[in-house]
Amino acid sequence: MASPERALEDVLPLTPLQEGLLFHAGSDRDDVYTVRTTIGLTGPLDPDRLRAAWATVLSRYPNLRVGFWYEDLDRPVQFVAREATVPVRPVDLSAATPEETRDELARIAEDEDRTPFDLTVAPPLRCVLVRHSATEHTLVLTNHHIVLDGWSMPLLVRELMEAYSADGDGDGLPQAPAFRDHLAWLASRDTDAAEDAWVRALDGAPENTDVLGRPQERTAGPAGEGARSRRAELTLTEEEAADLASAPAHTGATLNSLVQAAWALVASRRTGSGDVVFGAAVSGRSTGVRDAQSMIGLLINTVPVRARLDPAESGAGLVRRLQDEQGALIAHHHLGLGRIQRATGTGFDSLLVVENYPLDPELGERSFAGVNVRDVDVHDATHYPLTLVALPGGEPRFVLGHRTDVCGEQEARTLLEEFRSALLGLVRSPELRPAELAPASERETAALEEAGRTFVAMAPGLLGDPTGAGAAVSDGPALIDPEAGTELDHAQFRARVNRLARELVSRGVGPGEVVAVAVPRSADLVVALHAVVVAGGAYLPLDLEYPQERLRFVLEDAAPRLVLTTGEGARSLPGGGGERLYLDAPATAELLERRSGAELSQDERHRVLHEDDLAYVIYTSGSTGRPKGVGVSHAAIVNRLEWMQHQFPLGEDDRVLQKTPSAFDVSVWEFFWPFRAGAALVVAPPGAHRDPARLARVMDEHAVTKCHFVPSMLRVFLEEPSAADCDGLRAVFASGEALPSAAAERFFEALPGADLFNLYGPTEAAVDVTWADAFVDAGRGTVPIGRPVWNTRAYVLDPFLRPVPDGVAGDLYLSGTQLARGYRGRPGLTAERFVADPFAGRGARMYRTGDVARLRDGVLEFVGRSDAQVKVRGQRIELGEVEAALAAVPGVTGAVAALAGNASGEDVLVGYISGPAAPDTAREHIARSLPGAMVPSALVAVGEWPLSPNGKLDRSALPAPDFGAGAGRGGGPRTDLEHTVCAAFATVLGLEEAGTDDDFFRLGGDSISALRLVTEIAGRGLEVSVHDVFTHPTPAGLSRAGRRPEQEPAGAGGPEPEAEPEPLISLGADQMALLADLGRDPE
Amino acid sequence: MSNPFDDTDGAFLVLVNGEDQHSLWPGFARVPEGWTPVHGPVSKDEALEYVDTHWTDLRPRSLREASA
Repeated sequence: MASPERALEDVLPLTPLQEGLLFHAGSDRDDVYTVRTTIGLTGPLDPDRLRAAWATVLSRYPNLRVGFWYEDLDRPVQFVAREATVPVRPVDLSAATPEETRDELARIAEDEDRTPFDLTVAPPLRCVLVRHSATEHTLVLTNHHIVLDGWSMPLLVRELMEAYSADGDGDGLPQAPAFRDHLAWLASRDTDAAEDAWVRALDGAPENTDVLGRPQERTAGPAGEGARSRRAELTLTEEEAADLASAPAHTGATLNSLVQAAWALVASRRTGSGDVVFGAAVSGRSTGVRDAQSMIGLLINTVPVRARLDPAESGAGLVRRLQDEQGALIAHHHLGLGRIQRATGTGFDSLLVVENYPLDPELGERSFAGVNVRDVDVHDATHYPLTLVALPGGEPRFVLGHRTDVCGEQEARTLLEEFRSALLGLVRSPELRPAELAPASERETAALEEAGRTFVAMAPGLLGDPTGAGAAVSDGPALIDPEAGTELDHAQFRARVNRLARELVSRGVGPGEVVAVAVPRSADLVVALHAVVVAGGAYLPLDLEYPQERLRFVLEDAAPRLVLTTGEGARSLPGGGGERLYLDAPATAELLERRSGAELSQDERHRVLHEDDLAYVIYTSGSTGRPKGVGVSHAAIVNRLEWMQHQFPLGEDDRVLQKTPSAFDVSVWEFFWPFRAGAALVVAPPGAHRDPARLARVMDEHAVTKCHFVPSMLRVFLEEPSAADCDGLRAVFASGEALPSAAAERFFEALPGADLFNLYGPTEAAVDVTWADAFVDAGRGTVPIGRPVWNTRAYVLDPFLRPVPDGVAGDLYLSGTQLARGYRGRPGLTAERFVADPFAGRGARMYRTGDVARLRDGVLEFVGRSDAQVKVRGQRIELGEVEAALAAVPGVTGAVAALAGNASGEDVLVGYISGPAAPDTAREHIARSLPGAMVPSALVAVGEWPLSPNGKLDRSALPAPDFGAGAGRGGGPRTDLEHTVCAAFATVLGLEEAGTDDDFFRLGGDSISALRLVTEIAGRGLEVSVHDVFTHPTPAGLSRAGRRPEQEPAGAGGPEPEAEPEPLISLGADQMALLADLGRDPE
Repeated sequence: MSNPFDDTDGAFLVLVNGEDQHSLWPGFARVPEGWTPVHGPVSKDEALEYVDTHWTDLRPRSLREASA
């Protein structure tokens, strides 16, 4: 056994990329970073001379004689073995047929690719020398990427052949550039300044850019078993190549920038985002390092490229801007990707490589002691799902490496075509804008056309018609008000409606007029609403539970012709608002008795009532706080009701429950649908909509078959034991909020005989515009919102107004018959929300919902409100996504995500859950699927959800989280250091005391308070960095990571390697001995 | 995700269709079939001001004419 001093020549730190590759070698099932280079050699090759040539090469390049070690070390090291040999395995195929040769070479390639290197053994290189004849050989060189980059490969082949020429005598060769110089240069860089530059460059960038639309955990994590990488190739035509070649000259853009811009266009279209990030391989060869350009080793690095696309900017502008932005970052190319990502949290699934290293044209022409290099073919791969390699030159080629577990061959070809089209667009029509350079693909266009196939011819109809299309007048009950003891049949109901309608006409009510209805839930309310629309007016429902201030605003804004109310209703009304008619006054009863109950004809109205006239005006909360009146036409709401009757036919035996407050537009179908179908409406007592037991009793007693629930209230209702008694219930329609899959499951357990449908729609589009059967598709966490109703189109568009690809989230727009006319008296706001429809033609409008949705196979999924996007620790987060992940946790029946202020007044993410699941379990569960920034700092178990008058969740009434509640994990401090850090934790987080295993971020900490923590700890004599806080967020971890400033770094004792240069890394004696042992030549 | 209609720095057109309905429209996008630009490109505020001044009756033209 050689003594340590003899075996070991040097110990070196790793470059950042080497550290990354070492990580992948240790964690991936199949290490993809095995590079195979096939070299064809013609001429009388002498295998022994080749072995000698390898020995020369290795003697000249210590950085190829390395092995790697990381166990028991803070940072991994590479050790340079004094002696190392590249094994050359001979294979003789001189007797093989061409077919056998081909098969055998393929088998060798396969074996080589699949045989991993043990990186603790130097060198990570090996060869197979295949002899075809005395003068024809194939040299298969396999190495681990950790020692050689692509730039180095031609240099290495040349170096090998030069050494072969010199017959193993390296003395005549020029001095080899020293990789150590590169490492020394790296060590001298200001990494903090570089980190700052990257943080600035990536500020606000999306957390993940997944061109393939796959969740990040599948792309950034270890490559799964069988994750093979394949390559799809794109060759440009001569004409295309010429155009590309001339582009840099007349635009001043480098090929690199053109390729980056083209890929940014593809990534933007694929992700539906105007802000994208992908990786780029950079040469890492600094002009500050001697002979860096001719150095053989792993110098490249991977850095993120962030591209922000401006819809109004030309392609030429994009390329120029990108080139400038990227140019400013060149000085920071040395920083490791791991560190950049930890500091910025940006992930991506694609990598760009522009092979711009100098070619060596003479290599093929030279004779090396009678041997010529016929061809060199490098086969490599990366762990990224997509790697786009640009190979410039006379015949430029683009190779897309794709990991087959996430991207098939067809998909890779499609991506390459999109890239080609964007690249040539940038070159040939640089004046075009992003949406034109990367237009929607055939797939998305076809999906749009499919979305347009909801046309159903509708006969003109009015909301006040006694029956819907084709329905007969029924003899059964029409209106049941158990509270008042009223039961009317259809004829009686219509007579009451018509009498009141005639009274209203006599008071000036007609088409184009608004009548406010301020009546508590009762038969009178139902009659009043019908009477207003029969008279030709538009009804304005007033919820008497709303604050006076809001009611006053609405009355002033809408300026109704008349206010219909009752003695009780009037008590909740503010003063003013015009003429009132008290429906329960004896005088009114007398007036009505004198009116005819016959159907009112068009001639009796002040003018002919048109289906484009308004049927109702409902005020919704505006984001600016000022309620806005949405006017909905007869045509719009009749379309909605006719579709509903077609989809879920109501019969004479059906009974619908009226429980939704009239100012919430869901009530419109409750109020009108049953009468049009000859069914009956059962009016729930006022206030019963918030009392599950009472609701269950009314529903059971009056044999209700169909009703509506807002999901929050549905959950409450299902927890009521007597809900299961409602076995007459046939269908429940849920809308108003996202419907959790767990609530749907609970529903089918409790009410096995009933259907559950999830409906979606804003007030601006006549109640609902999409629907899904929750039994058929319970969704993942949330029930989808499904498919559009009749004569309705739903578009999911990106910021460039392009339809997004399947599965990608985008802004939801609606178009079709059901759109509201607009916001009463607010033309500007109307023109901003109801905008031109770019797809339907003929001057159609589309409504921009402000909701974020995605399409999957033609089915819409609700993602969240676009204004529910929040920023936490600099990351943009969709609250809906966090809620969906929480809702998918077993045992969680309801989930809400919100922002809350922590001790330092910063906003942190808080999750609220209901159901048997414990918060800690739920957190562990979602931490597996969500990026760190999306895991709530606090999870609060909620017994009962606070609800608004409409039965929707009242977010403002959610309890404030107690961040300190979970403090004290791991017990009190045991060492001085832990004591210091625990005290600092308590101070910064505002806790009594902190435990050693308390997680800073789970207790409400954020990046701002992390800075305070660092300062606090420094004040107590211990040095930690913000980065340390993120990587070791507990007092126990930070105590280990921290340094006492006076403490010297561990001295490099033991046998010093005899190398003269300054050591680039310091190790202890034991570690040196261990490495020395590893440095022994394995042969 | 930013919506182009929410871009307060963007340039906007005002479009009008056959029903005299008005729409804000981002300057970068092609004008949809059936719509005519009547104002712009201008800032969003100016476009909104134009709409508020010129679109005084939100009823579609066909209804206005039918009920006249």
